[in-house]
Amino acid sequence: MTTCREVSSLITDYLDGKLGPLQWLRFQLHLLVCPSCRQHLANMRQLVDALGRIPPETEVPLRVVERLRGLAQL
Amino acid sequence: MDVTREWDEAALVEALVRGEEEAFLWLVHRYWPSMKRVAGGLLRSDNVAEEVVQETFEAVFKEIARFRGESSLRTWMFRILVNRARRVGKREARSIPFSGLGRQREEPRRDAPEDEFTSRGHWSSPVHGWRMVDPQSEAISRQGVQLLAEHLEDLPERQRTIVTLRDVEGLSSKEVCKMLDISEGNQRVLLHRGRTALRRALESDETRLSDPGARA
Repeated sequence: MTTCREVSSLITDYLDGKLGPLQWLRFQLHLLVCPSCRQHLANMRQLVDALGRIPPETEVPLRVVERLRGLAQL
Repeated sequence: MDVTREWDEAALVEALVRGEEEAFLWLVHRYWPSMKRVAGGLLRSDNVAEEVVQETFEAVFKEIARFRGESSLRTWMFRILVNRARRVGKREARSIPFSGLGRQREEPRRDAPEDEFTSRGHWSSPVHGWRMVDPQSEAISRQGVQLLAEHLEDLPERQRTIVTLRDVEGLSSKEVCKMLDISEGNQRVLLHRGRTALRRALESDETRLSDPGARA
């Protein structure tokens, strides 16, 4: 029987679509009966989404900007 | 510099080929943080990593007319960066293949602390949704995103590199494996560990922020 620990360890593979058919089925069956694992999956999806929203910092060193600006003008 | 502006890639490449300064500056500001993170995962010295990123942008500007669009511009740039970082690392004998880098500084192989699961493999306590999630959008709040950005810098180097490329920059598993010359399995293990570490860091933040006694 699939445990919560196993589901947690497989979550990255699941999100990448890399589980084999039998593993995927066991994973889904466990989600049906385990609210904590369903929430854990939702949390991980939100985490990945949030990582994609990390804004670029704007602190490129000034000397780098000036040097690259100089290149752009060539 | 407004890096939130979205460029159509073809328009951006044309602007770069024409030598438009705005396009150059946008590109640098947009990709400098991620490229610095990735270079930092491949080279031991922060100064050398910064030099390599700068040289990568120089190479991009010089070679942009040869960009054929066979991959995305972003993938092309990161490939230049990784190849350059490896050459520099070999020359200075300061880097080792990505597959071996940072082994001494990696987290323990075990993915979960002992108390996260019971001996029977069930969650020790129920898993709840994060309070940092905006109820309307169901997405983590800006404060949470900012915290994640800080925790990303604390990850071990290889995990930071993989999470940056896969999750921050959105490159595919295949692109990342090819770029870093690592197996899919290896890449997914690092990604899993990185995401797990970030999840736990965010959970600690939630505990700290919601506990008045913890605020000092």
